[in-house]
Formats: sequence, C-alpha cells, structure tokens
Amino acid sequence: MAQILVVDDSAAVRNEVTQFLRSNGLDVESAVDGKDGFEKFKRDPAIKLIISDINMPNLDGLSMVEKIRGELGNSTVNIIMLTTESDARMKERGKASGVKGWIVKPFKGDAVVGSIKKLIGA
Amino acid sequence: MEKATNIVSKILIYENQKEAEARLRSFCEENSLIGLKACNSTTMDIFTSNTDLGGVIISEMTQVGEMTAVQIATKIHDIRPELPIFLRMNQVDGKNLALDKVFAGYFAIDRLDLLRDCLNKYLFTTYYPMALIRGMQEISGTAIAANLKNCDIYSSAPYLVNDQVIYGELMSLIPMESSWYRGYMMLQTTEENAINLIKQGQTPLPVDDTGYRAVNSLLNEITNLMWGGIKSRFPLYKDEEQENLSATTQIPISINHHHKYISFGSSEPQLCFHYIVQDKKKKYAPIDLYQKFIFNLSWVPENYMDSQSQVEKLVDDGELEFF
Repeated sequence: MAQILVVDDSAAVRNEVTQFLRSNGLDVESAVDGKDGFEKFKRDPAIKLIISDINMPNLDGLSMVEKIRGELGNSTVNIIMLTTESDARMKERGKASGVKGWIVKPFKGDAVVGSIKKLIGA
Repeated sequence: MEKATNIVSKILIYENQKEAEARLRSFCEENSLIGLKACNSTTMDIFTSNTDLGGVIISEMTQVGEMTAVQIATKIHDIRPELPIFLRMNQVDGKNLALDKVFAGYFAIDRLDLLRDCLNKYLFTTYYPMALIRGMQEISGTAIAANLKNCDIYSSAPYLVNDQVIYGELMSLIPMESSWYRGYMMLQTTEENAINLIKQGQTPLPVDDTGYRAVNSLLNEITNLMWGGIKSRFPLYKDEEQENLSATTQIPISINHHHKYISFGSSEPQLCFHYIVQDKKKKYAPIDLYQKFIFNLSWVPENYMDSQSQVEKLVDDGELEFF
C-alpha cells in the first residue's frame, strides 16, 4: 500500500524521486511506464497522488491519465506531471484530463515537497 | 558551466614547407579553424577513432615514409570517405579529374580564396545563430548537471565535423522536430567513465547499479532533459500541423555497441522477420536481413481493421491512377 505512485521510464529519475519522498516519510511505489503505472494504480486503492513523466514507451503519461479518468472513472486521485515538456498544448491536454500540477524537470524535491504533502494530507 | 561559443572546425594539415605552413596557420586563425599538424607517421590511427576532424589539408609535395601525398590522401579517403581533403598545389593549373574522387578541392598558397570557397562549400555550409548555440549549451549544461552531481562542466567551442564515426560504446538518439528544423540529437560517451560516476554516488542511481542498462538509462535521462529544454526554448510553430509535432511524445533510443545492445525503452516483444537472400546459382554466401518492427510509442491493433478497409479502396498494385 503506497500513498504516492511515481511513474517514469528513467531508472535515474524513479530512484531520485522515490528516495527523496521516502526520506521525507512518504510511502512510495514506482512504475516503469504508463502501462505499468495504470496497472499498479488499479491494484492499489491507497494511492492518493501520482507523479508521472509524459514521454514514456508503451503508454505515455497523458494517455495514462486519460485512462485513469476515463476507463476507471477515477476523478479524485491527484496527478502531477514531472516532465521535460513545457509545451502549452501538452499542458492544455493535461489540464483537460484533470492533471493537478506540472513540474518541469529536473526534479527539485525541496521546492515541491510541501505541496506534495498538502495534496495527500500528510 | 564554463563554455566557449564560437563555432570552429579542426583541420589536419600535412605541410612540409615552413613558409606555406606559416601562411596556413594565419589562415586558420582568420577562418575559425584549429589547424593540427600531422605527424610524420604513416599510421592512420587518428582517422579510425573519433578525432573531431572537419577536414584535411595536404600539400602535393608531402612525403611520409614511402608514401606520396596522393597515396596518403587515398588511404585517408578509404578510411574516412566523408572527410573532405583539400590539396595544396604549387600552382592551380586545372583540376586533375582522376583525383576528384579523393580530393574535395584544390588551392595554392597564393590562392587561399579557393581554400576559403572549399571550406564554405564543405564545412561552414549551415548558419547557426549565436543565440541558438548559447541556448543549446546552457540547456545541455543544466541537463548534465542535474544528473551528474558535484561535477565541473567544461564546454569547448562548438565545432563542425564531417563525421560518421561513433564515439564510445554508449549512444542515445532522439528525433528533434519543429517548424524550422527536423533531425536528430545524438549523445555519445564511454561506458567506463559513466560507471565510475555511478560508483562514486554522483548520479541519481544507486551506487551498485552499474549494469549497462542502468548506465544507458542515465544517458537517456540526460538526453531527455536536453531534448525537452531545447524543444521548449526554441519552438516557433507557424501553423497547427507544425504545432501538433510538439505534442507528440518521443523517447530516446539508446545503443551500447560493446554489449550489442539497443533499447527503444519498451520491453514489449518486437515483431521480426528474417530474410535470406541467395543468388540463384549459389555462388556466394547468402545475405541475412533481419527486419524488426518496434511500436514502442503506440500500438493499437484494434484500429487495424479500419486501416485495412481504407487500403482496399485504393488502386490495385501496378495500376495507373488518374487524378
């Protein structure tokens, strides 16, 4: 059972974000792409926040969000995109799918940990 | 990050005459060239590795061991056919057509304008705005610093090469597309040095995660950050179709030559075909062709029927279709 699901195809980013959040007392699970993220989210009802990359193989991050909102009908889980993308159309698409926040990589944990804790009520 | 931004190119020079050498040195300084003096050795090692070379200048009087200028140039051309070689003649008295395959151009020491024309034709063909160069360096430096911690990053002057050589064992490749550019960005490095940084805890990876797949993922993340940064900084889409390009997902392809490894980021099985091509008389060994389809970014087979019905409406093979 995890509070946060980190979805990124890069082992380096997965490790960095996961380690940082764990060191801040949070329960974290990780997934290697959108497809894996979708399956893990389906199996774990305790997840309150998803932090996801966009450019990933098999299923990209925004399509994963759309599947969570559409296929699973879940409109409550908080989703933040952690990505190199800052394209306005991408952001629009994310917003329309119910993405709550957008972080342009690289990940600067100290700057966002407060907001992350607030989002999951920790 | 320490950086230099003027574009230069390295030229290897075979020149035995002192006066001509001095003139060429001045010419290089005036024309953004870094002149490297070729050693008097017949070894061609410098051409088999990645040496950042933009071209070669060779004097027709050059003699290295038993080899004449034409023989040296022919050998260089065999090893690195993409590298332009410019022949310095005592007098430019018409081109020697027999040597045109080897030499990209000819000049004399009192006709350096011809050399300048050659360089403009073969090396400095594309205009790269200085602000773009600075931006690319800055974004790339940030991407490197985000993944390789506690390191000083030095950036040499950007350079132009006629190069088809792969440096190191590790490589990542990612398409770059906008309304004003289309192509690829490639990042190349050596595996051992990258592993050392992981072992020393200077990357986001665990210190014992030194398998080549982990090392490649580190290179991919740096590539990804550079790609995203450059794409965001220099977009300028003129129409909707171009703008749609920016909304397509991309991931780097990573290659490790040493381990014969290529990753498209997906662990899904690849659809493969193996063709064996044999001449009818079976005089020669057959050629094996391996074809692989990697639909790593999207694969929706449910839509297959739709595309099939559309194809059937088209004209049969070999028929002429009038518009």
